[in-house]
Amino acid sequence: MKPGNETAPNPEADIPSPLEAQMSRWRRPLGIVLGLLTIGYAWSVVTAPIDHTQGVIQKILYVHPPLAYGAYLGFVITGFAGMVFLGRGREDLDRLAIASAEVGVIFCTLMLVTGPIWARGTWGVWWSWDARLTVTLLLWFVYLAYLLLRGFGGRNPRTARFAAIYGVLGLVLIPLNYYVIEIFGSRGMHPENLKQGSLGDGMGLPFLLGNLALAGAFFYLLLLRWEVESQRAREDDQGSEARVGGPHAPND
Amino acid sequence: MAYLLCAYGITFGTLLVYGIALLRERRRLDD
Repeated sequence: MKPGNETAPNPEADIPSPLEAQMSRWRRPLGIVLGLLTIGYAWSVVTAPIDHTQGVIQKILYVHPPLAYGAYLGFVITGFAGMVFLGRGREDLDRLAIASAEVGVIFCTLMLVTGPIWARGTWGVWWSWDARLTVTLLLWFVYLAYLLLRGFGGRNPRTARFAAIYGVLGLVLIPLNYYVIEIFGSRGMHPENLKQGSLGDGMGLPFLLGNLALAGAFFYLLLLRWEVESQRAREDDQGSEARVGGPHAPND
Repeated sequence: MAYLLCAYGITFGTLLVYGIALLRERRRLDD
């Protein structure tokens, strides 16, 4: 900050910040696109060919990996928003980090539910401690702990800074989770990462639409959760201002 | 088939309920 500019208004400190106000305008149009995508997705899953080996349960493919990508995206946004918050003190991005962690944990939870359902239906077991499953479970615990920290730590700068560092460190698990099969060679229930042409005929479109629809759902929920976080912060600020300016204010 | 319906039902049911809960919370905070 330049000398003599200490009292200049900081637009990022307003609640909602210009970025938050701008992003919330995208939520409704995104909701319309999401509705259309969901219709196309449902149609493509119903008409997708049935796998010769696994049968109809293989159609969980069109929901399980897209949930994993949503969870990764949520945690990556939490980490990067935390980095910007640490570097530039942008409180609006700290609120984005909280929102993204919550939506990411929901996606990760659903991934951890749909995976065992698929495993039980295909291989007759709910769980196996293969490398990817174990790292995914660890990832879920790490960001669940982030949410507990934010929930119980209150809205204070020290908690926010600590949580931001924690959220950034947790990012290490994401590339590890993606490449864990290549690194440790323990395939277990998971195949190697999908490559172009590795899906069967007619399976590419539902897989693409599944990814688009769940990415749309992710961003819609993220924007909505960010708005809620911003409103809660504004309410807290108004509450503390009312207490300072109330009947026991020191300057009264 | 039951496993498949269960997986899709839990996923989209949860996302729908979460979305509705957020919309209601947003409306409550607006008032």
